Amino acid sequence: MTDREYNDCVNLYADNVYRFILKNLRREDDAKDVVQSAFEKLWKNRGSVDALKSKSYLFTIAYHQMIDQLRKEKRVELKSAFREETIVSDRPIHPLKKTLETALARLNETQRSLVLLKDYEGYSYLEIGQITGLTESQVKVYLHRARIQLKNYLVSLENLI
Amino acid sequence: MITRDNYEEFFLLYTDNELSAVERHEVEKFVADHPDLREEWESLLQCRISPETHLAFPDREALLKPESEDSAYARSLVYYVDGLPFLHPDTGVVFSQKDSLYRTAKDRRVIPLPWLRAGIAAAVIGAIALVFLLTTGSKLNPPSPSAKTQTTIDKKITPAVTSAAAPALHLTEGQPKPKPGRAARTPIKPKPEPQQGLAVNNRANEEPTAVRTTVDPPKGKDQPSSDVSVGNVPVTESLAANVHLAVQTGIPKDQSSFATQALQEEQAADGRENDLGPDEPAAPSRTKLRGIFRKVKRVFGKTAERDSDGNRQVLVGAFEVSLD
Repeated sequence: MTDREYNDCVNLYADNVYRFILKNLRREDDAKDVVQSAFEKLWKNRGSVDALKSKSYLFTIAYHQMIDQLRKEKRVELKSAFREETIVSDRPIHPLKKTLETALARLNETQRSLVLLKDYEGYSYLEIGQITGLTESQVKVYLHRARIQLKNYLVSLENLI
Repeated sequence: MITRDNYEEFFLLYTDNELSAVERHEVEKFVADHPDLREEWESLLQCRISPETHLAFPDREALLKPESEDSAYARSLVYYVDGLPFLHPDTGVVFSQKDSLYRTAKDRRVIPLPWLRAGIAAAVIGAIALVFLLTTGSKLNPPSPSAKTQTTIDKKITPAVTSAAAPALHLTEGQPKPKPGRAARTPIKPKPEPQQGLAVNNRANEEPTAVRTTVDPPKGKDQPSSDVSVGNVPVTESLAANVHLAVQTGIPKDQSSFATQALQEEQAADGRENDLGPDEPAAPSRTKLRGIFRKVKRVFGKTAERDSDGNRQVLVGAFEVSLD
């Protein structure tokens, strides 16, 4: 990968990685740190990274750093209320979309990452498995469980309303 | 085949966009055929999360890196398209110490191997000498019986002649010492040709050429140094003819001279060899050895006394060795 290709990766994938990480970590500063760290690692290893696989490389690095960050948060036992307050939301959100955000937040980090990688980036089961370190069947099973949880949450809210 | 038992998996795969166009059409047809399942199918489709495109990385410029020289070509193209000047190589800058960079063949290191070379040369010389000796030995021993007999006779008569030269010298000792370079004044009558022919013919019935070989006078520089001669016939020739006569006339062994005894023994050996028959070849090792020994004998065969000055001398090759 050349310097130009690296800068192209910044222009093409920085926002995607940032969204993915921000949706999982829910804190802007932590998401920025993870994205910067991922791109710094890509810059250092640009000689051995193929430009065509740079996106998967970035998501893989960012995902694992995000998992490490989440494990640190679990040790600190941050309150979910504090996390809810830190969600970046400067635009009016559609009620269904807000409900989905809430349902997504109720998933565990693995299920949430799988849903985001699938819906945000459109990765296949195999590609998601390569990024997360899971097998294709594991991705399929975890993702289907997450879909059913989200559906059940939406259906239950509709029943309540 | 989508049924009510497995439709949920197909709905999930449809939501994840993991189905082909045909499978997607089958799912849509199944939902159309089963309207009670449409609500569940639509609720799953609502669970798909659309990306929030308004979220952007706030500090993207900080991630960008300055391009290095490897993109100079692309930059030059940009400059060319924009009409901007770009750098050209300065050919005036040269490296003035190019001579120090040149390499010659003298710098190469050569490892001397004197002993190895000498060993190889000795091996080659030895091999050539061995081949030469073997080939000459085989040439001296042709496979035909007549030729074999000829060579054996030639070989065995030569020392007999040398040994027979002693009585001839004894005969000439009483005579005045001849001056060198002059013909002999000794009144030795030449042997009649018929006698020699008789001796020759007695053997010529079997191997005429072999007998002629035995009476050939010595050639080369030995010829003029021979003072004892009868006419043009050398003494050695006449002596050899006498010896043959002695052998043919059947003189008893104890009364014959040493040369006659030697010739008798050799003829007896030749007779044994001839008794082997023409079809029985001699042993190869024996013929080879004979070839070598014959060569040596020929060299020393020239050792017939050449005492032109009355001194006993032996000619070995090109060297004269005094026997006194």
